[in-house]
Amino acid sequence: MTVPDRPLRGRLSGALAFPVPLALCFVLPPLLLHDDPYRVSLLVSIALFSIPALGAWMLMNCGLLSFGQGVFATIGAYATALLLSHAHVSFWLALPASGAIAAILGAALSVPFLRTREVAFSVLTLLSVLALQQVIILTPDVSGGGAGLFVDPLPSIDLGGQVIDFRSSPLAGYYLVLVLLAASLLVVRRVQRSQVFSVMRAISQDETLASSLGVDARRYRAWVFTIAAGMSGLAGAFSSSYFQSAHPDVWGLFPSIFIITYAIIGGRSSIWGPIVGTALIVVISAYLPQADGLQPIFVGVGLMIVVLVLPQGLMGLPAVLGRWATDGRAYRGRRGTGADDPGIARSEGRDHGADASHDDAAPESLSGRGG
Amino acid sequence: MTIVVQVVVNLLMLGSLYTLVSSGLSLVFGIMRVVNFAHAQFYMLGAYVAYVVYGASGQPYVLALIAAAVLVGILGVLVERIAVKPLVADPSRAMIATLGLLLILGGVALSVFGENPRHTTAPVGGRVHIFGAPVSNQKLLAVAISLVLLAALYASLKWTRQGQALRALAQNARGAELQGMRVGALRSFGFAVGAALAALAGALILPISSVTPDVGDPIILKMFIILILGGLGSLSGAALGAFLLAAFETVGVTYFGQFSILGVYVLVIAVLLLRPQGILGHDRS
Repeated sequence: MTVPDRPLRGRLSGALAFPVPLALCFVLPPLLLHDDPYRVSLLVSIALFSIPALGAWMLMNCGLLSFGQGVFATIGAYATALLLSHAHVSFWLALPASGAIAAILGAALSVPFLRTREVAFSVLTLLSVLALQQVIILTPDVSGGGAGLFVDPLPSIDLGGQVIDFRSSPLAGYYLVLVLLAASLLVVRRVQRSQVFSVMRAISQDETLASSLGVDARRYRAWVFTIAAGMSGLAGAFSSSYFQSAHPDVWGLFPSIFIITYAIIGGRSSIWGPIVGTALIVVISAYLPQADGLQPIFVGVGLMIVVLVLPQGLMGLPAVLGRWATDGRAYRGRRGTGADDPGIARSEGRDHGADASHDDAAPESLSGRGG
Repeated sequence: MTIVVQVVVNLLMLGSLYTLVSSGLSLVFGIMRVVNFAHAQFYMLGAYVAYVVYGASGQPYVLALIAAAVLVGILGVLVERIAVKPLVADPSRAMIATLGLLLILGGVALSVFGENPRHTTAPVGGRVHIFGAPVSNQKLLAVAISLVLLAALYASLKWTRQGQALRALAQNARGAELQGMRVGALRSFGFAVGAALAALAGALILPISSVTPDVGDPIILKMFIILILGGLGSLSGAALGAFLLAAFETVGVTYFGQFSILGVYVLVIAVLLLRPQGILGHDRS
């Protein structure tokens, strides 16, 4: 049972806020894009990267910054590649199987990973991305090494007369990944609505407090980690068949960093955050002049702007603007104007003495830690 | 015998260079509790400054080293002011800001220099024979300079006022502030020193290797391995971790092949599980 925390009007608009955008994602593209392969491929990228971004988002809401979604996507990609080529199973079986394999691995890795604290966890997830790349390079006989593997393309679907051929119809690929995204959204939404999630979110990093409230934080985080892993595995599985290749760099270091970036830019609060974040960056990157180096600069600047100025991410922008307009005072985030700040806590030195510096103001920081 | 000598020299060189870079990162973490993802880019930029000053403009190598340290040190202060200082109260947000910087600095280097590697000739040419094995003088020079720098770092942290102030800051920032130390200036200074050390490492290795905009990427990984192994905030830990990693990469790879790299990852996981504060780290719960 969920705890209702908004008036009826809010809950109704909340109920509509989910199916409507989803339906638009299905309906609008063929009308607006007319099967233009380039633009549809952008949409595919957006939908595809939104899936692990959603996973990262869930973990963000549990107080964990995971750079590791790329690991599970790579696992999913290679699982599919190998299942298709060695076990000759159909793609429609390989896809869920790859997701399951990734989820199992996620569950296994969650045991050592979640025993570490916040910063060590992030570093560990980053390391695992690179470690997996090393493993792939070191086992060329199985994994194709640094050159990657060829993967069979998406099989056509025969609907008794009507054949959906992914090669000739770009939109078909988009719809397939959109189905995966929709499924992920439903799962994440179910997780989000659980009471445990609300509690987790409010107290993010403090496991002691959580267990005093009867919430098994670690077990809950392990579940979320596993689900995020499975989702990323599905995305990877799709990508290997769609792009017809499995390669260690596709979901490597920078893509993994970008994935968490999309989630951060979108913001913690809304489930659409990661998708909005992904869409924005993918689209703007596509239209940036193709000079080398511009894309990382752009993403880096965006990240810094969000972190410095917009802690709630883009989805928090309306709130920020609203506050700015009504207050008549520039919104300066947590530092405030100083004069009306009750505590002496704003000076530089205060962050240090106690490591667990939880602030009792509304947690606007990305991970929920005070400050 | 030849191989042994060369492996030892490589071990010394990699170990001392890694120590230079990781000391800087450890110093920054010690005084600010911020994990600076962009640190590896200071290394990369140091190499590029040295390339521009020594390789492209033909100035003396010594000048290139000084320029690398000074320019990147100044950049470090800017980084600290813009990205770290406003977020000093929330280390995870600061960490993300440094991540943004990682991307920005890498992108800038890529735009300015392009992706092709840049080489320079060695300022000190020729070889020396140790136990019959040829060893390039440049490598020996790099080792010598790194060790001198590390000794200077250690000595100044122990005996100079600024060094002691930094250590005080690392131990207890509030106390330091109450004592009247100028915490803000000290932090910027510490950050600058860390950045300069990384830049010097990059400048020192440039003649031996080459530089590309992504030369920092594997370094990020290595730095974290080093600090996890040795312990964050501990300089001797940084040295230990650095030499451990260098040992795997030189001795391990020569005698056990590429799988030594996996051995490092196993070690890292083991340390994280069994002794999370690092081998020489302090227990901070």
